[in-house]
Amino acid sequence: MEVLAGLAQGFAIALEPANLFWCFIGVVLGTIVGLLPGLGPSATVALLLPLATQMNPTSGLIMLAGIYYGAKYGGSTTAILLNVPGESASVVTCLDGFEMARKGRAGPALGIAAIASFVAGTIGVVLLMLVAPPVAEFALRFGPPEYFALMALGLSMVVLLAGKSMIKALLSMLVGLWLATVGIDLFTDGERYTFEQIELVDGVHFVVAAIGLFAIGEVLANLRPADGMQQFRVPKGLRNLLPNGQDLKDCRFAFVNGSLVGFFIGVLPGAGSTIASFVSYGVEKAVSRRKEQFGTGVIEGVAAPEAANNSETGGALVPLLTLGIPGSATTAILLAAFILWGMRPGPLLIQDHPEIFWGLVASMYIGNVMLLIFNLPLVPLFAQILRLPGHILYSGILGISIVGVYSVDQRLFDVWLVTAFGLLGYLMRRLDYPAAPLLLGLVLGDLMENAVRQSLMMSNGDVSILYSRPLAATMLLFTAAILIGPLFRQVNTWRLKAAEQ
Amino acid sequence: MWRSLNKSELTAAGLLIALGAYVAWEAWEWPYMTKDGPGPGFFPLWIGILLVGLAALLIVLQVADASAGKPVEKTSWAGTRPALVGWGALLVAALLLEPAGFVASYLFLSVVLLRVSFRRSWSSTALVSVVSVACFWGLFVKLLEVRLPVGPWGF
Amino acid sequence: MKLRSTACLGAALMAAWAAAPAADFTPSRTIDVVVHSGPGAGNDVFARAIVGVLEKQKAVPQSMQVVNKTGGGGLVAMSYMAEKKGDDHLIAVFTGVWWVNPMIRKQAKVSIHDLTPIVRLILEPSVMAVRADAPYKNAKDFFEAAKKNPGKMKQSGGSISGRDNTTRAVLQKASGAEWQFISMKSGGERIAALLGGHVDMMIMEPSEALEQIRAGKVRVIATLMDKRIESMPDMPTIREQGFDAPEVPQARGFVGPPGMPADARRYWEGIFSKMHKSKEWQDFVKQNHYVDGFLMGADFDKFSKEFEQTQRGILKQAGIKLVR
Repeated sequence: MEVLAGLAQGFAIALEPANLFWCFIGVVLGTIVGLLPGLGPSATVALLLPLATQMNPTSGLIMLAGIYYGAKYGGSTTAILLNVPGESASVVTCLDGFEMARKGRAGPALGIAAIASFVAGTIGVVLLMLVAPPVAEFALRFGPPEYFALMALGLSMVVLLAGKSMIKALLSMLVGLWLATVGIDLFTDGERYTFEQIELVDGVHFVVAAIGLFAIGEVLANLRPADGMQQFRVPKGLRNLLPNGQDLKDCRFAFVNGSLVGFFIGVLPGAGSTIASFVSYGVEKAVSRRKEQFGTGVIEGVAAPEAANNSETGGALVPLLTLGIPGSATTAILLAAFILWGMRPGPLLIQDHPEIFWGLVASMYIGNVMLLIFNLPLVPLFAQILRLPGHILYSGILGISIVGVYSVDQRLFDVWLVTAFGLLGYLMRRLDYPAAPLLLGLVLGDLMENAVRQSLMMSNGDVSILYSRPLAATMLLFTAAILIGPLFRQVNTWRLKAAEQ
Repeated sequence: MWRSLNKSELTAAGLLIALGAYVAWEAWEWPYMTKDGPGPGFFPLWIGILLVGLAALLIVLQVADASAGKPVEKTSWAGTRPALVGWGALLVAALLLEPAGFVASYLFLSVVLLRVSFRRSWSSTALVSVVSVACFWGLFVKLLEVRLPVGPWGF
Repeated sequence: MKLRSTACLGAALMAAWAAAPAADFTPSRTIDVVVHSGPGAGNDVFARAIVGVLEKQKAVPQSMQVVNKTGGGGLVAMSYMAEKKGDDHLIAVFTGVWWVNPMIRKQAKVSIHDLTPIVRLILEPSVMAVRADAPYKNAKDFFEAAKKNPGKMKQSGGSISGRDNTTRAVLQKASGAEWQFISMKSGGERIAALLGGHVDMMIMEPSEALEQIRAGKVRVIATLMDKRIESMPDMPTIREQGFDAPEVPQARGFVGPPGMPADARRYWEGIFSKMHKSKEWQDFVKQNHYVDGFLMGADFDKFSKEFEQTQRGILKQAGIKLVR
């Protein structure tokens, strides 16, 4: 009952013309920002912070949050069309999304991304509205040992990302784990593998590695003079440009899986949407009846990470609004906005300012509908980009990559780095080393190392802390299950091989 | 037997062994264990060792397959020359970015790609390059206020 | 005729010469306010709040924009300032790391002393906080517990060269107790670890702590300043509780690039002293539970030298390698 009353109050606020307007501005800006690689939601939210602080807190928050979840909608577009991950969470979308585009199914891929975003975005808000306080309390039970188990679970996804050779996937992941150690060591403040470069003190930026390996590697593999013409098949007719009934049916589970995984990982401070998208993709593949087709352009491989990426927003708002703890870069800026408005979100925010909380929740329902209405018609339009002849498309991708990478931190060094990763991406492609495990290692590496070292500091070096706490133990069991399956098969094939000889 | 080996694969594995050795070597300098558990050297050391081990395993499996007379898949290097030309152009553009500004370096990149890699005519090259650089400039610099590097001529 | 015109010229020259050093600097284009952390971090909020106050007062005739030069714990921002030698449309927010990092990082090419000091505006107080259901009612309880269970008590914090660890070093020395310091990357993780009971203590800013206290989640057991904090008048300082732990200041203010022209420096000093007196500014300080730390000119230089000395001592004591 309380929820209904709150929601009614929220809609009354969110439907005020001014708030509707700011919500619209937020989601449109978010979509545009999401479309462009590099310039992420946190940078845009920061850009509009001065404007928002001159508005009243409710309208300002409605707009800033609109940018936040709007950017997630747009992020998949360049990933699917150009193999350029617009933001770190869309890397996983590239895997099957770009393959779909290659097969002439760019439209359905973009469409399902929009639909998955809508469904999961809405589920995320429902969960935020109904279960925020208990979930926040639950998330507090996650200490370093639980984070370690979560990261182990994430890393075990490598067996699902592997192509023909498991060893190559593991090697790729190890390189990623190594790259994750570059920079300042959190515990000793010493530097590792920085070659005394200021730019490397903060480590290797994930987006830089992703754009180099995926986008530039792809372009380099396609620079052939003979292909002056259109590279991709784009079917005519609107019906082929949107997902059909069968596609939606294939994605039923992906919507639910992505929404739940995204929300719960989003609630944990310091985990984030990239991990959520990897995990949901892994779960999707693990339970799928057509595992072997993942990576060749299956639609649920796009739906699951996109769903996770969007419901993560709802999850990430939970600790901010119920505990006053920012869990991600973007929610940290939202916290800053509160401070600039002269308030401080804490555990009592919802009690003190119900109008802000419920106004935001209602506006997120409205915003997600707006985004769906705004994005679906754009799908056939965006799909036409692939009609461009190869020479325009590919030189354009290189340009976008440079600008995108540069705009992250305005650093020249990142442009040089992305160039190096581009060559690496090309070589890995030729030699059949998958790039996704490298990126998985890069995101999870320092989180995992930090969690292990924090745990052992807590227990004075007693290793049992890592597996003796119930939550951590459960996740480690899952990890073991994921690892053992393929390993068992691998050993079996070796045994058969040996028997043959 | 040597002839049937895939040399590209072996070279790649060799490079990974070298990388692993370097990673482990550097890590050796840092404390491996402290009184509170693993030190800064712990993880990198193991990453290095595993890199060396797995890459070596890759070589062993290759050699075993080859000596058993199994057909070995060849790595295809078709299209590598144009790829390297394209990459070279990208590298030059990246290095030119600061001294010459975004517009000039992107124009350079675009012209090389279109003329050399895609063998377009001069007129098509000029048209596409100018239009695309204008699009980038308008979108990122004017609309989004990204501060791209500016050359001595003010753009 | 000729004589008169020469005299006129001479007079004009004299006037020009006399006027030159007094010629007031006024900004003629957008002013860049450099911040060494990303959007949303403490410094960034601080800079944006000040830009907001100055804009509201129409104190500066040109627009001001916050520029985030992240990386290397302030080193990137510092070397950016050094590159813009003599620029009078450029100021930067400094914090303690502008002293600390050049001391511990080899790559640093610039120290705070190379830059042009303008103003120190605030000091950030800090408090010792534990979970509300913890058995420690004051600092002494906590120290006793740590002595009884050596190595079992834990504090969450940031990097070991940061203020929470230097404060820990000071507290350990004053009390004779020892406990673990667990570094965590983001502020969110640190508080979550305290609220979740994974660590026992955290050194917080009062603005962070007050909301958690109000919700009954956290208890403050000591103020870590030399004087009591206005917003927590009943909370005794660590010295009042009988432990001789000197305050570890965290200061914020503005510096200019090296060789900033004297008139520009004077201009900015004028702007900030005017702002310092305004109600908007006083409100901002109060809202965030900061301590007014307004200092300019020779006083600032004195503070800067002293601060470097104390930091040096604390870093050495904490076992961090100094490179210069």
